[in-house]
Amino acid sequence: MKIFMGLFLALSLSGCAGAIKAGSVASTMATFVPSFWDDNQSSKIIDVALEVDKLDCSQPHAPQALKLKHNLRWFELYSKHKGFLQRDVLELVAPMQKTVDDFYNRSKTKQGSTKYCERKKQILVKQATEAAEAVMWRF
Amino acid sequence: MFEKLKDQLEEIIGTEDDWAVERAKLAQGLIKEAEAGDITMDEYRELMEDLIRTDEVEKASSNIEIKSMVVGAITTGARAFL
Repeated sequence: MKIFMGLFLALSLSGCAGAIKAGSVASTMATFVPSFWDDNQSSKIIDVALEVDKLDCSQPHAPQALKLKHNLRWFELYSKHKGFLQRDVLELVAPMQKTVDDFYNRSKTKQGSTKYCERKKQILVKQATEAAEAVMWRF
Repeated sequence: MFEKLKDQLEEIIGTEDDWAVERAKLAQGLIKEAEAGDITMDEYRELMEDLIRTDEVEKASSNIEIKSMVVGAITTGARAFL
């Protein structure tokens, strides 16, 4: 019990010290305290993983990329409105959004090569897997 | 054009660092495809950037998992004494 109380106290104190320094309690709390389990976020990140899994490079890329873009945007807006503790999951999906945005922007003007799409899918599978594991394994 | 980079990647692939080897093989594949003309140079650049972004996702994911484990351990420990 003493160990856990000590650990909790240490985390709390380091959080307070940081808050005074940065001048923002909310921002510092988000640095030390993780976001917690959320049914909606869990469902949406699996929607993203499913869209990536279904990505068919022989079909037009733009509509498929747009679906991914919308799902990630939904996740971002939901998390932003939920509160400051969601900063960790926002940092998680931000690089994915850039990957998908590039894919969509290229596809909407002139579709990329099939090999490009296959590589993009391979990378997105990896990103979606990492993101889903982090979102689903939260306490 | 890619000679120096290819040599560096070969060196990394010869190591025992699984994480680095996986990345190096992916990058090597992209170089081969760019040289063969299967992907354009612009597509190559974008996909290389995506590899860096994948590392950012992994870093953020590890960060969440570690923090969640700490919270889980504290909660379980506290419950055990209640």
